[in-house]
Parts: sequence; C-alpha cells; structure tokens
Amino acid sequence: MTRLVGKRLLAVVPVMLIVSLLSFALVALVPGDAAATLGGPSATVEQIAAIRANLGLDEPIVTRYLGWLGHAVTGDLGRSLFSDQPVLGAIGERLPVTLTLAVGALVVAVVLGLPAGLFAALNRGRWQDRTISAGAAGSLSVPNYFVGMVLIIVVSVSFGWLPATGYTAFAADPAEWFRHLVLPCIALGLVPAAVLARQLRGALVGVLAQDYMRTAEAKGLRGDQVLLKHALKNAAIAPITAVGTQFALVLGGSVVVEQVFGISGLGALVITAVQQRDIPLIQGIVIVAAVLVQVVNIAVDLSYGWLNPRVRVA
Amino acid sequence: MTASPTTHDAVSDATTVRPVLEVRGLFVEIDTGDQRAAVLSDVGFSIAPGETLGLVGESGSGKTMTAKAIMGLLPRLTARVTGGEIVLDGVDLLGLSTKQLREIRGDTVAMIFQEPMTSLNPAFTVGDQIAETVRRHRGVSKKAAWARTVEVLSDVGIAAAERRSRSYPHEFSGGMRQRVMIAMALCCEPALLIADEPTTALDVTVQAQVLDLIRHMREALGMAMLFVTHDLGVIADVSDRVVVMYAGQVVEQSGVLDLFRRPAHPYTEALLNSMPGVEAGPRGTLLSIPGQPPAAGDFPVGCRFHQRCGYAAEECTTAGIPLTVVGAQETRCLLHTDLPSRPPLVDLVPEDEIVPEVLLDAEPREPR
Repeated sequence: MTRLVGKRLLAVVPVMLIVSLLSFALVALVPGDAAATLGGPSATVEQIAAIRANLGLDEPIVTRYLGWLGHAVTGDLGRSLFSDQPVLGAIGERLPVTLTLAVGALVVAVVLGLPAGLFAALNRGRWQDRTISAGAAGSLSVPNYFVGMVLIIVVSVSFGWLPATGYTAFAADPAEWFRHLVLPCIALGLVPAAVLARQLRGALVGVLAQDYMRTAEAKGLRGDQVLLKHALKNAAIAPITAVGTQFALVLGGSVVVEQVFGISGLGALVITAVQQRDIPLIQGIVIVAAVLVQVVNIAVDLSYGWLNPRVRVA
Repeated sequence: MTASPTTHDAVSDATTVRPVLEVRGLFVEIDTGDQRAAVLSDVGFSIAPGETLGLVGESGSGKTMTAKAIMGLLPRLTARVTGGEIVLDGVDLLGLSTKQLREIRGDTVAMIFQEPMTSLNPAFTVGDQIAETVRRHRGVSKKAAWARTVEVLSDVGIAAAERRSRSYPHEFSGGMRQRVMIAMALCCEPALLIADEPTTALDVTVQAQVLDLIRHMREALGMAMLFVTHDLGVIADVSDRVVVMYAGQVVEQSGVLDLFRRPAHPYTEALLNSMPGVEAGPRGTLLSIPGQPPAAGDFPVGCRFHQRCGYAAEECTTAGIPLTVVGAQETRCLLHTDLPSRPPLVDLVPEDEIVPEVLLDAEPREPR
C-alpha cells in the first residue's frame, strides 16, 4: 500500500510539468500584448516597453518559463499585472468559495445519484429503472446555467424560499451560508448526479448477479448489509472514478454558475483575469486547478487499493 | 394383548419423528421472456434429523431450483413459488416474510455452492465474511465472533487459521475456498446443510478431500444434509436416501442401496447405465440416454421421460403419472402397476455384489 502511494505521488510530477508547460505556452500564444493592455490606449511606446521590461516579457520564452517554474515550485506564482496582489493570495481569497461550491455539488451528486443508482439497479428493466434512466439523460443534456436560472426563477423569485444570488461565509452565518449554497450546488451537481447514477447502476447490475451476492443472502445477512456492504464495495470503483472525473468538470462549470448566482469565487476571478489578459493570474489559476484535480485523482486511485485488495499487491 | 398397542405406538413414534425439513407439493414457475414456465411440479420429500438425502438429476431437472426454493434464494424478479409447503423445523418457510427468512438462513439452514472460486466476496477477508455471519445470528461481540471464526476455520482443516482468517479469497486455492465456504455455512451449527454440487468444480483429488470433510462435519455436528449432485458416485458415498428428479418432478425416492440394486424408475436405471464402473450392460460399454432432457415449459404430456424411455407404452403418453409406493421405494412409473405389455424392470446387479464403495473409484460422467 505504501508503494502504491509512493508510485502514485511520483506520477504527479510529469503531469504537473506538462500542465505548467501548456499553460505557459498557451498564454504566450494568445494574441495581444499584456504590456500594451496594461499601459492603456494612451500609453506611449516607451511606456509600454518599460512595462514589458519590468515584467520580463523581453526575455526569451525558455528563460521566462524556467524562471517562473522555479518560483512556482516554491509557492510564488508571481503578482497580478493589474492589482499587483500576489497571485497565490488572490486565488487563496476566492478558492474556499469555489471549493465549497464544488464539494457541495458532489454532495448533491451523491445524495441524488447514489440512491437513484441503487434503486435503478434493484429494479432493473422495470419502469422505475427506465424512469431513472430518462431522468439521468435529461440531467445530462440540460446546461448547468439553464438549471441555475430555472431554479432562481422558480425557487427564489416565485416562491421566495431561497436567496437568488450572493454568498455568505460560513463563519459569518452558517444558516445563510447553507441557504445561499443550495441552489448553485444543485445546478452544478445535477450532471455528476446523473453520471454517478448511471455508473452505479451499471456496476451494481453486474455485481448483483455475482455468486458472492448469493452467498451473502444465504448467510442471512440483513438487506442493508447485503446491499451496502457486499454489493457497494465491489460496485464502487466505476462510480468513484466517474465522480473523480466530474470534479474537474464541476470546477470548470463553477465559472459559469458563479456568474449566474453572483458568487465571487475562482470562476469570477478567471473571467476577470482572461478579460484583462492578466497572464500570471491565469497561469496561477490553471496550476492551482490542476493541483486540485491531481489531489482528487490520487484520492480516487488510492480508494481502488481499499476497494479491491488485489490492487494492493500489484 | 396389552403389549401390542404399546409396540404399535413405539413404531409410529419412530416413524413420526419430526423431520428437519419437509417439502410438500412444491410448484415453482419462472418467467421465460413473455411466458411463464413450470420448473418444479409437485416436488416433495423429507429429511430426518441427522439424515443425508441425495438429490440427483441432470442439468435442468430442477434440483438446484429446489435447493434455492428452500433457501428462499429464487431469483426475485423472475421466479415464484406457486404452491406447496417448505417446512423447516416445524415452520413453513413460504409463510415467512423476507425479514424472518433472513433470520433463519445461515442459522438453522445453511448452504454451500458449486462455485467456490466466485462464491466468496473478493473485497473482504475470509475471516470478516465468516465473523459477520456469526455476529448476525449469535449477536456476540466482535472478539467472540472472531474467535469462533478461527475455530471453525481450523475445524475445516485450514492450517494457521488465525493468520489465514485475515487473508483475502484470492489468496486461497479452489479447494481451500470451498473449505472456507463450508466453515461459513457451519459457523452457526445449522440443523440442515444444503450442499449444491459442492465438489463438482474441484480437481478430482481435492474432491475426495472436500467430500470427506463434509461427511466428517455432518457427523460431528449431527446435522441433516440435502446433497444436490448429478454425480451418482458421490451420492453412493454420502447419502442415506436418494431423490431422483427429472424435468421438474421427483421420479424416484429410494434408500441408497435400493437405488443402486433395483432402481424403480427407468430414468434412474438409465443414469446408472450411463455411469462407468457399474457393471451393467455389455462390459466396457457405456449406455447413454437417447435424446435431450426437455426444457422447462416444454415438458411432454404424460410421463415426462417417455420420449427417452425404452419401456414406454401408450399409457405413458396420455396422462401425468402419479408417484406410487413400491415396497420401500417410491416411483413415478407405471411399470410397477399391472401393465401386461412390458417386461418388468430387473435388478441391475445381484443383491450382494454391489458395494457402494466400489463406485467411489469410478469416475462418473454427466449423463447426456
């Protein structure tokens, strides 16, 4: 198990190098001159050149990359071109909001998707199964911002049950924090919920037909022991992988959903950074998002070792 | 004069010892696509405490279906019991709720299966899988359940049981996994053990060991056993009495010696003839049963075996044949009623020549 963890952590290094290279290269390829934008329309050529020199934009790209990488490894992602705030600090301010939203979306996914998948598998081929399949297909085909807008119109505007926009920190008011999170988390969580339900149903249908499930029944275990212990642990690999993959998509989705619900998280920061061509900030956000996704992927991989004892040996 | 009623009472007491299991008039139907087919028709037998009943038949004869019906393990969505009673220890299992049935399964009645390689859950240690059964039915502490687990694993011949209890199923061979399954079935000392082809999937050398173990454990615990197999050699080895099934019906019920000496049903006779090592028919020739066993939903009218039976007559093709008592045996065959048109069934072997142990060395084959 220790070897599995070690191997998995080593594999992060090349992935992060590639991500850093791509993010650096992509931003360098984007048309437009940060120095010119920063200087504004009235800036003189000399002023722009001064800005450029100040930012090191004159140096060859390889030198720039290596320098940036060296700082990044030590946790210094540079400073924003506009606010002059350290990039890591700017991200740190927004990250908790977006992470809360992402985790909340995954909670919604589990709360909806897990029972739906279980129920569909247990009633395979019957109307309950078909209803859940249709619901999942529907959830997958509706964009999250549309769901968000419908939720705002129906739940907030028509019924006034929950606030339409904004965010309250947990420390300030836990109840309000929760009330503000419900709708955006549902909007973001419906797609992962549908993916989870489908994956779980498929895996469970296979597991329920296994001989060891018959053994579990023959031992006289309670229904919940049979299903939640013996079946779920064996069926969990595919759904957990799917949820892990969904985490990256939820992070991406939060960019739009934060706009719909007027939440200033990482998504809102990304939009500002891109509009202003704030290169260090864009790079920093990409790197932080990649680290987050890597962490989730490692957690998913390690769960395999727990779920399937045979993986531990390999 | 006064002694005679007492004697009579004693006899009737002996014969009315409450059986551990009594199956009466069991009917089961399955969904096959859009129609429903009867897979078990009027299946009945009983097992006395400490007795081993062999249940023999070809694939599709309904023997496994019968075992599953007793355990309440019929496929929930596709099979249903449409009639009969399954009385275990005086309780009709068919009248119980699923919840009540779960209390009994693994406790009063336990089952071991044909597929040792896949019957254990790969995600949990074998000790965990046995201990959870003990905890479920005995309600003891985790520690006590684990102690019982190690004890029962060691009873079934697993060396270093303490250490091996923490191993996963993939770390065991097929024969060892079947030992684990046996330990799991016996951990709560059931009154009845159902063994469904427990040695079929194992290597021949391991088969004998596992069979010995089952026999030994049965004697040690004094439990009754329903031993399901297609293998007459194994039947000769373990059973006291034998029920032969064909096309969802019981066609013969005999003591094990009677079954081999004078099978009362032509199907039993054909099964014996198709088994190497029994000196029936010309030396060295194995007789196979012509044709295929009928599929559920496609059982012929009259005797269900008549199309493949060498003795079949007109009377066999018109109406269902009742189970009739012939001496100590029961058979679903008209040969034992007065049918002048056919020769009587003969004893396969002279009474004192057959020794069931001989059958052990023979390698039986699945009749076709």
